[in-house]
Amino acid sequence: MAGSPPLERPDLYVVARLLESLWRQDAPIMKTRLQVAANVNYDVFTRYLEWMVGRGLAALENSADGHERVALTQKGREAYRKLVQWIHEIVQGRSPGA
Amino acid sequence: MRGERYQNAIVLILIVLVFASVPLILNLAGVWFLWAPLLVAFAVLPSVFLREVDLAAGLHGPPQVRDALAADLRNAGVAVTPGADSVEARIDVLSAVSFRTRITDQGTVLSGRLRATPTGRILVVALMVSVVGSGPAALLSLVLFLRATRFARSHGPSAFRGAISAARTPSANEIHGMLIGGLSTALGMSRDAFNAQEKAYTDAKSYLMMTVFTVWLAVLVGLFVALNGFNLETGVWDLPIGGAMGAALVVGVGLFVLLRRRFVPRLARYRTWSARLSAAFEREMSPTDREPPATSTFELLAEASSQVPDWLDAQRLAGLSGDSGTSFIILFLSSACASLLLNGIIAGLRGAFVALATYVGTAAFLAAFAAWFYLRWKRREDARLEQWRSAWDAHEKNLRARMDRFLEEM
Repeated sequence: MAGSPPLERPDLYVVARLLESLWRQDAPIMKTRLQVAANVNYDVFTRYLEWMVGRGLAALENSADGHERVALTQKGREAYRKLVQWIHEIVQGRSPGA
Repeated sequence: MRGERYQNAIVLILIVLVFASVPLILNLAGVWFLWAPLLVAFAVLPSVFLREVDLAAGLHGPPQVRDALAADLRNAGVAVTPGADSVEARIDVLSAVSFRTRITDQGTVLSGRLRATPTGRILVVALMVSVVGSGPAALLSLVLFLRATRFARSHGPSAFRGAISAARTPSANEIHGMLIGGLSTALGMSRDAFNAQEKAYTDAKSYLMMTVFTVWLAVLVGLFVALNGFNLETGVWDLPIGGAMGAALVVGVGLFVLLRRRFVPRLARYRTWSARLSAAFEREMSPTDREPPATSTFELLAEASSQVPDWLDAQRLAGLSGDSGTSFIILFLSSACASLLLNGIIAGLRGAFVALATYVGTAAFLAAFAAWFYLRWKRREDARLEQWRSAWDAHEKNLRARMDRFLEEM
């Protein structure tokens, strides 16, 4: 993952998309599959992945088939929970009476 | 058929039957026992066969609900025929219940409706055609309806038994619950917006018809008076009729195009949003669907939240259509006003100018009262929605800032 410039200000939606893809899987998933789910090009994907791994939101694991897989960490799960909670509050708080 | 649509359909049928019964009462009162059961049957049959009753609701996927219901029915020895979004359970040789699932803001809702089997249908039609059998046909339909309702209510709740997704951890369930809750609220709002605008569109088309009639009448009378004076006996109507038809056509077509341009894109937008949210909702409630969706639910909710002001606006723009009480008062005042004006015009054409002034004066007073009543209502509604909207804007800004800070802090 070396060579790409680090992310200065990550896009919230891309981070959420990556976290959601990881959260939906019970087991670590292959990087290519995660990239497809995130709907970004490989360069952008590696920068985001690096950013997430650096902050402890995701972890890389080597599997027996030789492919590198990505897993959601506890911190990543908690981060996704917070994001979902906020978006839930935005939608729920649609009116003063709600 | 459910809710307001069912009530409207039945009211319409009853009105038609009441009008149909007037000449029968006047001319054939002596043989009432021949036609009265037929009229009763015409009222009862649609009431029982069109009625769709909501039985239960829950946060389960529609296929899951239908499968659980079918399994429960089979265990009870009931013959089941699965359909695309329904399950048909045969109660006896004459009747069946069609259970249907649909997605609403409360989750999946299961509803039931009485269906006649082919044998039942033939029997009811034969009884109706025989005329003398229409009374028994109505009675039979009522009995079948009561049995079907009891049957549906006893089996319906079984469709929602069992855990939604036992494999998930408590934390995953919490996140899942929030995603479903958010989707459910957004879906409810988009559907409310669609319904408000759809009703407003229907009302606007009714107003259009009234406007076209008013234009036709005004041009007809105006041209007639301009060409012939107040001379109802020997005046020539050809040109006024042609002119009135032309004016009504131009105004009607023009207003219809304007209405379509105003409502159709909005309705399409709300329909698309409801479909997107409904599909996401269904996917979230389906425990077997573990594939990541094409659009993340979080993103969909974030996008949906930016539509909330538009959905609130839809209700504001729907105006009186959303408030049946006030709209009834305005409609009553407008009808009285139109009736007085019509009487005034006729009085004027007959040369009774004192009556004309009285009618027009009373109509003007009613029109002014209706306008005052409407403006007062509109000011109050606008203020209420504005307050909602600013509170929502502040709330949204605050939470979005928290989300941005959260990422920056990481």
